[in-house]
Amino acid sequence: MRETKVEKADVIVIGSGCIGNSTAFYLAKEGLKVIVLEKGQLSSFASVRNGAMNKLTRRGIGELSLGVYGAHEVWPKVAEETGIDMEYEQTGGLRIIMDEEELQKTLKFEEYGKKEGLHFENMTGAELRKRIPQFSDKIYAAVRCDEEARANPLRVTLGFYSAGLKLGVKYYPGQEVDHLEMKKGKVSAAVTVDGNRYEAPKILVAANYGSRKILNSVGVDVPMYSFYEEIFVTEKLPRILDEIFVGSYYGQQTRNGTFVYGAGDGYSSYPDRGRYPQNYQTSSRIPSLAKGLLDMFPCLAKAKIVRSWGGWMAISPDDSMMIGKVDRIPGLYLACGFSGHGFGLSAPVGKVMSEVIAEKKVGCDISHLRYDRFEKEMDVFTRTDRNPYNVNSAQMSIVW
Amino acid sequence: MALYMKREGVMPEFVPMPDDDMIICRCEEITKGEIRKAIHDGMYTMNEIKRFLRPGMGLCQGQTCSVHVKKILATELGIPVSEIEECTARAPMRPITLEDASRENED
Repeated sequence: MRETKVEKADVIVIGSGCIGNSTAFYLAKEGLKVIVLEKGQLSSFASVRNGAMNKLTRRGIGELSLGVYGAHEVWPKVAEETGIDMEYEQTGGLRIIMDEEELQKTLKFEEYGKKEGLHFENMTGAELRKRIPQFSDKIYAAVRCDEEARANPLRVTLGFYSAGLKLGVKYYPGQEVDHLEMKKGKVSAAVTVDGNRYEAPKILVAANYGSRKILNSVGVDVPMYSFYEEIFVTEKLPRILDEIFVGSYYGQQTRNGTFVYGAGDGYSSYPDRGRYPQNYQTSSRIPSLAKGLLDMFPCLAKAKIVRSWGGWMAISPDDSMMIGKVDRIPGLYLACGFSGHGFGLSAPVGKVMSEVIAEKKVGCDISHLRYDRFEKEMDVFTRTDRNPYNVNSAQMSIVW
Repeated sequence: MALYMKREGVMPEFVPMPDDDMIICRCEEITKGEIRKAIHDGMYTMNEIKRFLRPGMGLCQGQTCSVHVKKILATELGIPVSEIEECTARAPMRPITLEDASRENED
């Protein structure tokens, strides 16, 4: 029989993505003993494969207070707190709008966004091109949001890891959690598929899509489905713009001059993603992404694509994350179903989750992001940009 | 298998070496010293070094430097080079213009 081991900590974090790593870092800063368990290689899934931005326009209302809190209170201090340059820049973001219908939806969002503390500037296509002449004349209008920003996901995810390591956080890759254990009604341990037991009075499940199976083992459900997106990056190019630009796609010219551009697959969701290898890529995406970027910037025709990659997102029924504590199981916390918004909010989510776990005053309102909100009828913070493939559309009340 | 090595505590203090200013990745202009420092900061795999510092992310996509980065990593970790796994390979094999890429589905 294989020898198994038992290890104890104050908090076990399951998942070493940007959320797990940032929460572990902030918890260690509070003096807590933390172990991070990772099923595969350290920090190598969606956290290091995303569009590298904090996009806020047309997000669910519940996430906006977190976005504003992050933009003003958390992200600007991260470099100093960790000692690592994460290339965070509040560049502002441009939502590129192709027709009147899109414009009306975005203006509707603005009303909600302003109440939450976001700042907008509306411009026509001509005004946009006056500022950034390289934009295609097919563009109808644009809305700039000042709070939108970018950062380098590789530096963020591994930076929180590196800073946590120095504060004594332990990271164990290759430890896939099979189930959680309870004792006297409280959560007590995470047990891996190899039978190793990690005991702690508090456990945070931050495994995004993988969280569902782990949480199901103690009778908690977090509805979500898998969604696949691909991105490419070009060679370094002369500076065209600083702002991130978004629509159903997301793009930016990074600090070092490369263009990063990505979008969803557009065909289907992947309920059975276990069938696909970790580094799965399709052959159809690069051509359609290249067309997309050229539609926006015709001047980039001769720019070269040097690398492409893909990643899985976990989409919740209302396209907003599920974070917070599980009331009926003391000691159990979750942060999952990020719907592709996790990276941009990773530092504020980590900060807020560490405050929830350490039972301190929480920096912003996360009550709309409770995991059990789907048990009741959905209300105004519900919206989706994506086709809700395997979600019952009667459940959705789409606002924009 | 360095991929699943446990990460706890920090390495012994970083000791500078005389050839630390040698350029290893020409595309991204990354020196041996920067790579050694990143390993001391906890980057124990080729993918982690690539992601944290960018060697192998420039125009040549690591075709020149990856063998050198691998040797530096093996030396710092004190394990044989044969135990170091390669970075994840990514399409395209050679840089391709957006124009050419966007034409792929046409006849």
